[in-house]
Parts: sequence; structure tokens; C-alpha cells
Amino acid sequence: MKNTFFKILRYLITLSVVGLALFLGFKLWNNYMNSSWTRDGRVRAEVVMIAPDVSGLVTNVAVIDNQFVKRGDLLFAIDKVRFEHALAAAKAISKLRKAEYEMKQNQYQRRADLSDEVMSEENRNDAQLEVAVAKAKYEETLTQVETAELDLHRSEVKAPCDGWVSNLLMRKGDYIQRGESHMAMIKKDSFWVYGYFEENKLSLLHVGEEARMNMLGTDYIVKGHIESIASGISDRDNVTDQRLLANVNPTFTWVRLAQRIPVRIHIDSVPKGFTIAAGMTCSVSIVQKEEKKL
Amino acid sequence: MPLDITLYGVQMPTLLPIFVIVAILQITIDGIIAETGLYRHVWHPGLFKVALFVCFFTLPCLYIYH
Amino acid sequence: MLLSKVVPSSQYLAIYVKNAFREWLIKDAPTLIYMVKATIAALLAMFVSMTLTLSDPRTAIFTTFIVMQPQSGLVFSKSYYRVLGTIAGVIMSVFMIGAFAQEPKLFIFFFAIWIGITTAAGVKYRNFQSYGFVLAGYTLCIVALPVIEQPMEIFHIATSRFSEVMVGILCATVVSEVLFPRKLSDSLDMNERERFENVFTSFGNINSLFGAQDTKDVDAVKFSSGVVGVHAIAVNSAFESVTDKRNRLYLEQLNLEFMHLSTTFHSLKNIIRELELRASIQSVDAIKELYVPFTKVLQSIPKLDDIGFVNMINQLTELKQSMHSYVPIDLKSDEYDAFNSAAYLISRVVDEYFIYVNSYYAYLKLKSSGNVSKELTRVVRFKTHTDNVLVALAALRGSGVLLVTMAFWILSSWKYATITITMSVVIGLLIGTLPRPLDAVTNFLKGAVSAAAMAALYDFYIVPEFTTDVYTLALVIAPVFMFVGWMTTRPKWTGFSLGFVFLFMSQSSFDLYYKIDPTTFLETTIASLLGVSFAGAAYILVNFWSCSLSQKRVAKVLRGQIIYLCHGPLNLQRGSLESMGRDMIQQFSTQGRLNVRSSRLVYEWLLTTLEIGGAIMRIRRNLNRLDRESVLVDKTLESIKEYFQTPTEVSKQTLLKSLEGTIASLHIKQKEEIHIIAQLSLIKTILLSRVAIPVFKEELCP
Repeated sequence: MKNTFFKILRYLITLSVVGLALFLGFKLWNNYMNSSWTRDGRVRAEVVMIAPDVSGLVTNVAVIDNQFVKRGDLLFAIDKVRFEHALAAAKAISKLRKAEYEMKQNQYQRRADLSDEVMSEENRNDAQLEVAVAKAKYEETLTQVETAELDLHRSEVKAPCDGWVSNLLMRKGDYIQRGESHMAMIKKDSFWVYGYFEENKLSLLHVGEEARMNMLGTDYIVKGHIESIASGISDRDNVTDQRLLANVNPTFTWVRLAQRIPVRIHIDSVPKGFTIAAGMTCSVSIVQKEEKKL
Repeated sequence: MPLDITLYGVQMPTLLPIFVIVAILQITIDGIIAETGLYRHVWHPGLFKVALFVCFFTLPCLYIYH
Repeated sequence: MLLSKVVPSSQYLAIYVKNAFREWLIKDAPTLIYMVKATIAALLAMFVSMTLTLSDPRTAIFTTFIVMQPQSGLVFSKSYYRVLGTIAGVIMSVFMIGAFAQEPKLFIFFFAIWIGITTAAGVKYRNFQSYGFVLAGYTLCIVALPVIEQPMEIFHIATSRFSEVMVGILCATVVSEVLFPRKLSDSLDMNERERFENVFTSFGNINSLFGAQDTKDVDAVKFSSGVVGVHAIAVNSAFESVTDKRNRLYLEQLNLEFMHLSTTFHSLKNIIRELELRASIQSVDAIKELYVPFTKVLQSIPKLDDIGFVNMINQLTELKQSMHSYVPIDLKSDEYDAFNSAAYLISRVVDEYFIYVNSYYAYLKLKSSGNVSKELTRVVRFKTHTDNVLVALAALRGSGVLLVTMAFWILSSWKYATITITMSVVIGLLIGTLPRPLDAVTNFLKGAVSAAAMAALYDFYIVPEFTTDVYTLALVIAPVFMFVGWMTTRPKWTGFSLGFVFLFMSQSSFDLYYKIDPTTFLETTIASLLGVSFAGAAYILVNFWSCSLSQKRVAKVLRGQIIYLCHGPLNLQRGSLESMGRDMIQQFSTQGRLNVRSSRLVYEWLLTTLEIGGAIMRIRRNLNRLDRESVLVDKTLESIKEYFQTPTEVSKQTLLKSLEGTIASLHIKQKEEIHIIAQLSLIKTILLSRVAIPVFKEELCP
């Protein structure tokens, strides 16, 4: 009797522990698979690439690296002399054209006052048209003056928005080309987080749900909400070739792995004392709405 | 508990250190059970040990992925 | 009538089927189960490492095959050392790449030193410890060589290699623990019982000791390898928590007692054989008379159960008391000595058998009830001995192979020459720890070639034709895994299976992607086979070790031991002396290419050394206890020392004379003196007998 009891006890102990293990294991697996979080989150920000509208030598760099600037503050200036000269030349030409225009006007006035016997209809018409030509030429020079003025104005590059100068590499004396980006500015309050979620977890996420970002290596929790979910990523196994034909990968993986889809998260609040920077790594967990109800 | 922790600048899922700690714990407990002869009352020690490990491992993990 | 005929025949059939089934269950089922276990572990490792996208799932599969053993304890212990070896190798690779990636000369130099050290340690240490060193050596090849061009890759390779090994080990250990686990302690128990019953029957049979059957001690080396092997298994059972510490202590103790018993028994046998050859019937009969009571006691035990044991222990206690009161008869001087020694040895056999039976009975009781009836306090240490010349030779061979293959790499500047290097280093390390290396390399080559053919079949036909995902891949590959599992259970196939596993694993398409192209396949196969040939050539070339050299080395060590015992400390344990000797013989007979005849000779040397050494120790101990100084005994010890230092015919005669004189001078008054006389006559008998002593070089090598 005692022996059978112990025998049953032996089985009972083992099987109950195994049963518990199976239960816990399945539960963990389920939670793990259905938990809407990813270790792969990145802080992103809007970056303005600042380029001058004119070419020339840099005469003055008004900011230092990582400086906060307000909209309209001077960032750097390009040598003005050339543009002043151009403006002076344009003004001179403008004066010339103006004089010519006035001369033509006077000429026409005089010819218009003369009688038909003295002045032919043709000559009078010509004079009238010459006035129009001189006027147009004069007006052309006026815009040239304006352009020269604009160039002069644009030789001073100003901040387009509030933000931080980043990775400043420009130095006084550099020669820079028009339209070439030489300075990056991170726009203030433009930070957002891209969380790369596995495709199988995508259906668990909905726009507007609360997100908590744990920044790598810290205890800070940045809060936010899902702003939008990307509608597509590129197909790695099908890269279009030069002739626009599909180039399908001939090999295949034995075990298919879930791809990751970027989910854009708007940052609502940054904890005090935490400095956020674009490029930071964080893990993102989404507080699901259903869970909140429960 | 955080989903992942950072040790000496290396970020890893919290499961990993838990696994190591539980493994050490398991070896200790295993030794104690063997010394006291409690395995006599267990039908399949191997299965029992693995199940015990799974239990020890999943409990803190379930706390993380609640 | 008809019915009565049918029923018994069907009963017979039932019994026949039952017996056949039982036999199958005992003999074949474990192999089948093991095959299934190995296959499941390998497939699990494949699946897990592919799911975790480790860069080389083959390493994980390979690890399961290397680690998988029929018994769980062996799996744990091998895994343990594999992890340690991998860690050491990985750390070393990171260090080497960090320090010498830009300096080829230093890199090669330190590489060679590391391989030399690990090879030497692999030969020097026993069991899976040796495997750990082997692994530390070749992990360096696997991790460091492929990244020598891109040193920044080292961390990635190092971590992924480590995680692959861990996955493989976890799969192997879990599968071997959960699926039909076989306990190491069970096989130890069986071993111990078999051994005990062997001893019981052979002691009970008087013909095993007497009778002129010229006893070829073919089992002699087996005997000592048995002792060493049981020790090895007992050590590994430490990893199996179910066998608790007390069990292990008992097993070690039993092993030691068995060792003592077998030494005494063989010495006794030698003396009796000597007397039989000399045809001194009188003394043989007298010895027989002395021995018969002992066999009678054993024969009177019908069954080895509880009652049998108690009965036997009681009878043996009585026998021991009557033995001590025995007074020797008058005989001629030499024969008297021989008889005296034999009588002494018989009483020792009985004593030691008594102890052995007691320990075994206590062990059985511990197993059945968990009660300790005989507390073991003294921890028995098993000592090992490794010949330094053997070790140095192995190190030289390892480094040499590395340097030659490195030169081949640099000269040929072949992309795949790193595989050649890895392969030859692996063989140099792994095969170096196996018996008869040259045969093993040949078998390795055979295995490698058949694996290459098999891998080609799989890579270019079966896998692309029949598989679409990981499940079909598992289905298709399972037969090969089963085959590998089967091979690893066959000790004769060790070399072949190693070669097969190594090449199949490196050439088959177990990457994350299916990416095999014939050119790479062909080149890597050729590189691997080239590596095998390099290593084989090294075994043929770097081999100035010979049978006679082994004999000389053994003789020298044994003589040194006797000399040491003449003046060394008195508290030396007999057990450590014996275990060391046996371990040495075992090593020499596998590594030092001893043939069967010289193995036997060396074993005889060991026995005589142990006897003489033991006698010297006992003489010295008794001398200490004696109330007066004995100049003559001191002198005799001195001449023993002299004889073993410079073994010539002259010193032998001096020794014999001194022995005779001392024996004659001592009187049988005190217990100590009687003991000394017995020991001295034992030495004399051994010296006079035809039994070999480790003194003269005997030409037994072909």
C-alpha cells in the first residue's frame, strides 16, 4: 500500500512539474509572440540641409557647432564685394537705359508735335516704337538691379527655422558652390521615432495607440503615440535591374524570418533631464488599447 | 522590469541574463536534490530537471512579458 | 492428442519470441534509441540555429554529434569541456587577430606555439579534458584563419561560433536527458557487478591459479585498461547529479581495491607458474593446500544475495584468523622462500578479497537503501603518468603540420588553403589522442572521401530536387544523421566516423540559404582531403617512436620508481603507485606502439615493480617499528637500489647474496621480523624467477 502510494507520488511529482512547465512555456511563448514591442527603434528628426544661393568665398561663419539658432539668425556670409560690384554695374547700365529711354521719349514727343508735312507717318510710328523698346530695355535693367540686390542679400545665409546646427564643417575661407549643401540643421521639436516592428505583429498596432520608448542604456521612458504605419518596404528578393526587368533571388532561406516594417511614432513628452538626439536607439513597446480596457 | 538591459555597453534582451542566472540556480538546486536523495521520489529525473528549468526560467520572463 | 501437442509448441514459440525480444531489448534497442536521440538532437540544433539566424548552423549540428554519447553523464562532461575549449580558443583568436593580424611572421609563430601547446596538453591529459584542449587548438583555426584578411570580422565570427556551439550543446543535453535517458551510474553498476562476479568465479575455481595451462596474459593490458576506464567513467559521472558523491567515493574505492587484488593475484600466479615450471610438486601442493580453504568458502556460497554476502563475510573472517596461525613446513632454501612468498601472497589475497567484498556489499546496501554502512573517509587519488617525450613528440608534430600547411598556403596563395590548414590541424589534434594514429588517419581519409561523395549527392541532387523548406530538409537529411549516430556507437569506426562527420558537415548545404556551386564544392573538398593527407604524412614522417624505445622508457620509469621507494617518504599510498603504473602502461600501449607481446612483457614488469616496490615499503615500515637497528637489512635495501641503478649480472649476484644472508640472520621472534623475512623472500623469489623485471632490454619488437 505504501509502496504503491510512493509509486504514484513519483509519477505525480514529475508529471505535475512537467505540466506546469508546459503551461508556463506556452504562456510565455504566446506572450512573447503577441507582445507588441521591438528592440529596434530609432529616434529620427527633420534635418534641413542648408545650401547658399550664391557661390563665393566664405567670409564669416556666424555660428559654432551644435549652436541653437532662431529663425532668421545669420548662419554664414559669402564675400559681398563681387555682388556689390555687380549691383553697381547693373545700376550704371540701368541709368544708361533710363537716359536712352528718356531721350527716345523726348524724340517721340517732338516728332509727334510736328505736322504731317514735316514728319512722315512712318517716322512717327518708328519713334513711338523706339520708345517702347527703350522702355523695355530699361525695365530689364531694373530687374537686373533687383537680382544683383537679391544676390547681395542672399550672400548672407540665414536660418530657415529654429533648430540646432549640426556637424558644422564649414570654415572661413572655404569656396562654396551655389546649391551645394554645407550645413545640417536639426529642426526644433521635429523628433519622432521609427519603430521597426515584425510583420506578424503589425496587426496588433493601431494608429493613436500609446507608445513607450525605453532609451538604450537608461531608465528614461519617452512617451508618444503611433502616428502612422508605413505602407510598404522594398522586396529584397526582387531588385529591378538596369533594363527594368525583375531580378529574383534564386536562393531561398530554409526558415522564413519576419521582415520589419517601420512604424512612425510621434513623441508626446520627453522626461526632464533627458536629452534626445536623432539616431538614438530605443526599444518601443506599444500599450494596446484592449489591454487598457481590461 | 525592462525588456532589455545594457551590460558594459552591450544591449541584450533581459532573457539572456535571466537564462544564465537560472542555469546557475538550476545547477545548485540539482546538486542539493541529488545530495538529499530526493530524486528517488521522481519518476524521470531528466524530464523533471528540464521541466524545473523551464519553470524557473519562464516565471521571471512572464513578469516581463505580462 | 493434437491439442496437447499444439499447446506446448506454441508455448515454446512464445518463450522463444520472448527471449529473442529480451535479447533485442538489451543488445540492439539501446543502439537504435541512441541513433534516434542523436538524430533528433541534430535536427533540433539545425532548426533552432536556423531560426536564430546563426551564420553557420552546421557548427551546431556538428557539435551535437561530437557531444552526443549514449550516457547523459558523458554528454554533460564532454559538453563542459567543449564549452571551455571553445571559450579558450575564441579568446585566443581575438587576441591573436588583435595583436598580430598585420605581422604574418609573429602570427604564424604564435599560432604554431598555441597548436603545439594544445596538442601536448591533449596527449598529456585524459578523457574529455584532452578533448577540451583539442578544441581550444582548432577553434583558433576555425575562427582566426578565415578572417585574417578582414580582422574587423573577428568579433562577429567569434560570437556566432560560440552561440552555435551553445545551441548544439543545449540540444544534445536536453535530448539525452529527456528521451530515454541512460544513466552513467547504471552502466557503472553493471560494470562493477560484472567485475565482482568475474573475481568471485575465478577465485572460486582452483584451476584459474594452478594447473600448467601456460597462461597467456592477454587480458593483462585489458585488466589495467579496465581499471583506468572505470576510473574515467567514474570521474565523468561527477557531471551526473543523480550519482551522488558517496556513490562516486565507493566506486573509486572499489576500483582501487580491485586493482590491489588483481596485482596480488597475478603475482601469486606468477610464483606458482614458476614453481610448476621448476616442477617442485611438493611446494605447489603445499601452496594448494593453503589456498583450497579459500576456494571452498567461495564455492559454498550458492547465490550472491543478502544472505550469501553475510555468510561469505563471516566465513572469510574465520578463515583469516586460521591463516595467520599457519606455520610453514620445511623445504629447500629457494623453494622455502618461494613457498613463504606464496603463503604471504595468499594471505594477502584473502585479506584484500575480504576488504573488497565488504566494500562491495556496503556499496550494494547504499544503492538499495541509501544507508551508509561503511563510512569512507580517505579520498583515493587516482594518479596518472604521462611520458614527456611522447608529449613533446605530439607537440612537435602538431606545430610542424601547421607550419608546413601554412607554407603551402603562402606559396600557393590558394583561397581555400585555410581549409587545408584547419583540416590537418584538426586531425593532428584529434587523432593524436586516439590509439594507433596511422590507422585512424587512414580511416579518417576513407570516411572523408565517402562523406564527400554523399555530400555531393545531397547538395546537387537530393536537396535541390526534394526540399522546399526546413521540414522537408530535415526529413531528407535524417537518414544520414541516423547513419552517423550508428557509426559513433561502433568503437572500431571512430576514425571513419570522425572523417565522415567532419567532411559531410563542412560540405553539405546547411547554410541559411541554399548556396552551393560545384566549383566551390570541388575546391573545398580537394582542400580538405589535402589537409587529411598532410596530417597523415606527418604521422608517417614524424615518428621516431618505436616499440623498443617505448620499452626502454617504461623500464626506466619503473626502475626509477623502485629506486625512489628505497629512500623516498614512507607515507606513499600503494593506490597511487598502482594507479600511476597502470595509467602509464595504458598510455604506452595505445600511443607508444607496443605490440601484443611487448604489452604483456611491460605488464609483467609493472607487476614485478609493484611487488618489489610494495615489499620495499613494507620492509622499511617494519624496520621503523623494530626496536633495534638492523644493519644487514639496510645494506640489502642499499644493494637493491644499486642493482636497479646499474643492472648488471654482478650486482644481481651481490643482491642475491645479501638477501640470502639477511634472511638467514633474522630470527622468527618478532612479528616485524617475520614480515621482513616474508618480504625479502618475495623479492628473492621474483629475482630468481623467469618473470621479467624491468632491467634487461628484451628484444620482443619485430
